[in-house]
Amino acid sequence: MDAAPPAPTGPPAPAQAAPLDEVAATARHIRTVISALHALDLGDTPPAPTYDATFDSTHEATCSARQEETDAAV
Amino acid sequence: MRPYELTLADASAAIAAGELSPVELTASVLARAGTVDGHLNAYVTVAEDAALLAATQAEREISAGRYRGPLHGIPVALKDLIDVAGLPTTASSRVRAHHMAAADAAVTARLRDAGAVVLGKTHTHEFAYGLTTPQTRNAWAPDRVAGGSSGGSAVAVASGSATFALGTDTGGSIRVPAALNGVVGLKPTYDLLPRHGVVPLSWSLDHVGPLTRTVRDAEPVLAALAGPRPPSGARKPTAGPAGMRIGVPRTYYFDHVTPEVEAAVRTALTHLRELGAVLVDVDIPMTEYVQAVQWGLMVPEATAQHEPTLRSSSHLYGPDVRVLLEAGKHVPAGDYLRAQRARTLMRASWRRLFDEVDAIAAPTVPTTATRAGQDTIEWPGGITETVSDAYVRLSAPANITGMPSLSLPVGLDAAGLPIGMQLIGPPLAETTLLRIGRAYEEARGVIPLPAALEA
Repeated sequence: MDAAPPAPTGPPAPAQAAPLDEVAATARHIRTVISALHALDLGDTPPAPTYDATFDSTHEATCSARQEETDAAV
Repeated sequence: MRPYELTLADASAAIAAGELSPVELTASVLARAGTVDGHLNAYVTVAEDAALLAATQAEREISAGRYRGPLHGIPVALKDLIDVAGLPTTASSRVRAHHMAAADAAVTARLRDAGAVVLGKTHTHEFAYGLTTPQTRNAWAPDRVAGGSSGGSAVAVASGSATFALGTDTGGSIRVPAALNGVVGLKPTYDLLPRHGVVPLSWSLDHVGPLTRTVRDAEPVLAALAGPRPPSGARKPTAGPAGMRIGVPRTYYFDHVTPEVEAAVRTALTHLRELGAVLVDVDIPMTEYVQAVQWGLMVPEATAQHEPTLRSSSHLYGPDVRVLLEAGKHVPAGDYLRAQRARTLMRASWRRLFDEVDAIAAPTVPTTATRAGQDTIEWPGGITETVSDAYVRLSAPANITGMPSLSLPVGLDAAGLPIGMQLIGPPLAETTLLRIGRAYEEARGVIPLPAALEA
């Protein structure tokens, strides 16, 4: 996981209705933390939905092949 | 030495040499779980009959000359987010109390192909949405948290109730409990290992990985999990760290860290320098946005994942997780996209950091295991931080960037609780991290099983 605002204090127990004030307070806290990003100049930066390991793998292989070609030439 | 006390590497060598049978090892580990788990509560389910059957089959295959490799006949515990055919995947939640897995998760299947013996399922903080796993006790001190969310897996390995285990890590959930229980935890590069058949928390941050007694033990597990054609990240490490450049953060990773944790990690760095590594000071980029990006990605993804069950069975969630999931409905889409765009920048700036160094070494967590029920930590200067925030703080960058991170024990504090150091590398640099970690481990020795359990 992980970053969870209210620290848990016991094992999962049967819950009744989630207290609305607690949900609202937690939602406010989360939005306050996330709002730090509003200060960041993102310019035309596109979103990164997930990390793409194949890109680095391909990039690594290409660099390595180039290095081998260079080594052979030397 | 009793079989359950053996590391994976030693057990594997003994099995390969015909000095130990998989049945003898599995029976010893199961007996150990029977002795200690009543009070540790690492396991949700122990599949004793199925484990002994699998061990018997492994023994027959090995006797017939069909040895599959270093995991053949080795007992493993799986976090209860990972499907095992014929067993429920409860995610330690009443929401999934009646679940039954029809098939193995991809990682389970790969372990079975390698001949591993599935012992059972270990506790998680409910749906992996928390850092403490409150139902499980720390293997070193029963009044301390196990860490989470893969708390059951870490405690099972630390207590000798599993020879190795699998966990998942969305913001530290393999590395945090590994550090708090004195075992090794590896969060590999994002997508290096398949997540099919693993209950998600946050798709873009979730990782599956091993928890083991030693760094050496993590190598064959990673190789088996990476499949028949492992990418470079899962290749076998070669030489030690001589000449490698290890980055020592000037910023962030040593801020608000207990003096004992800082001293243990800096001492470990000194040992790495003695082994030939070159220590290089580095500045960690964009640290003021780590928590905002982590929450901006994780909170809405978790709520979206749980939307159907929040509608149908919200009363079955534990109170802390339910409040978080309900609160996640109020994160605007614009903020989620802003977090994704910030991740693009963070990933690029971290990638540039690795033009200067081969790996970065830092504390895994800012403090050792806190007391069960403790909500906050007070830092000098009047700063108060929740325990969950403290435990995720140093782990989250590797989840956001997708970069691999290996946590290994580097000592004990004055209370006798384990301290963890993490090694973070560029994408697919698992081999480098294992190489550094193993050299440290061979030079300094392996941390013993917790003495508290022997009393």
